[in-house]
Amino acid sequence: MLMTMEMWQLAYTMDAWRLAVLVAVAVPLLVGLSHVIGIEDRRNLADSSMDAFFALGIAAFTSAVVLTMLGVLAPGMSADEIAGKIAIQSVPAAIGALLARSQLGDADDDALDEREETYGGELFLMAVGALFLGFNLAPTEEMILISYQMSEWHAIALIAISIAAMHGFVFAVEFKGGSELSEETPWWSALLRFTLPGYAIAALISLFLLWVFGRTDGLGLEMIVMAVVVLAFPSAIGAAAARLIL
Amino acid sequence: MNDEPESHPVNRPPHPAEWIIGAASALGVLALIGYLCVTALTEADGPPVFEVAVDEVLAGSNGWHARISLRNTGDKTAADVVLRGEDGAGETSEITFDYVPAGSMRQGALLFAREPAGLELTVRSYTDP
Repeated sequence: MLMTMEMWQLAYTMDAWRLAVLVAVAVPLLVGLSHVIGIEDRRNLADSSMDAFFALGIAAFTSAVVLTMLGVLAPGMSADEIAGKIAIQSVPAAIGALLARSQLGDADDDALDEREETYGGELFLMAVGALFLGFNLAPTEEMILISYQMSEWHAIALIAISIAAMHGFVFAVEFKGGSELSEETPWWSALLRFTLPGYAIAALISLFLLWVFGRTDGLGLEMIVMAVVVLAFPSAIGAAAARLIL
Repeated sequence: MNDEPESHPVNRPPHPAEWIIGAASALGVLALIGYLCVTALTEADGPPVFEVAVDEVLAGSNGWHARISLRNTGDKTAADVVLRGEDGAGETSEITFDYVPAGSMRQGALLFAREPAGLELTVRSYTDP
């Protein structure tokens, strides 16, 4: 993402207040994520908040260093542009930082294995996964271009494939064990309780991301819906994969 | 977020809220598919339809800016739309829009050396995306 051109351009094409909304949404999300994947015996709001801000700080610092190294940040740029470029990279980088710690950290300290799986927690993880993957793709020109090339029938097929792929992941979680789904659970129960809400979350997050990045400006309702369906495909995979991986 | 510890999640019967959220999501997805079906069936199979308008004319430091908006009221998206403006005195200026999606609007400006009067705007070409 540090090497994606659109992410640099967004720093000066995007409304400052939309960037502010993005960061405002990201902070409670990071706190929640650090709460869900945090270390079991010190799960309280203060520690989770500290973890989240620590991750955000590391992310901003890393983004600044890498962007400078790549020549994306150079002398002569305005402070607004530099701050925008770092801020926009920091959000996915911070999510990545928290996820990396949960995956690569000391297994004994990891609360995830014995994490109590609550329904709300599962939906939250799906939202984080959708945001993380959607963030990578929402700024790109391709998302919009694909939606222009597709007909409504293509879009309907894409919705069906997104939901089918998500449902495959839901079953993979079931096989991994420790999931809410017991053997007797009928397939439609999991579809209704996990897959469809997961897809709805992915679609809403896609809409939010497209709006934040100014991709919906001036678009008619039909084209917004098409763009959301296109972005919801990777977001839905991200949402479903998050439950499997975390 | 509900973080109440549940000792045996596998055997836990689904909470009623799970069914409500599930049903709401199912309705949302069905509405989405229904909307797409309706627009697909009512869609006219014609070329893009362009509507151009001059929003305002401003004096800038490097000439006159004629702010224009281009709306595509058709059901097909047009790419690389070339719009040409000619004022009464014969001065011309051109603008290319990357994309003008179906049912959507794009804005830009044509620059003129003198204040443009009697501006005529015509769409000259476009490509299919």
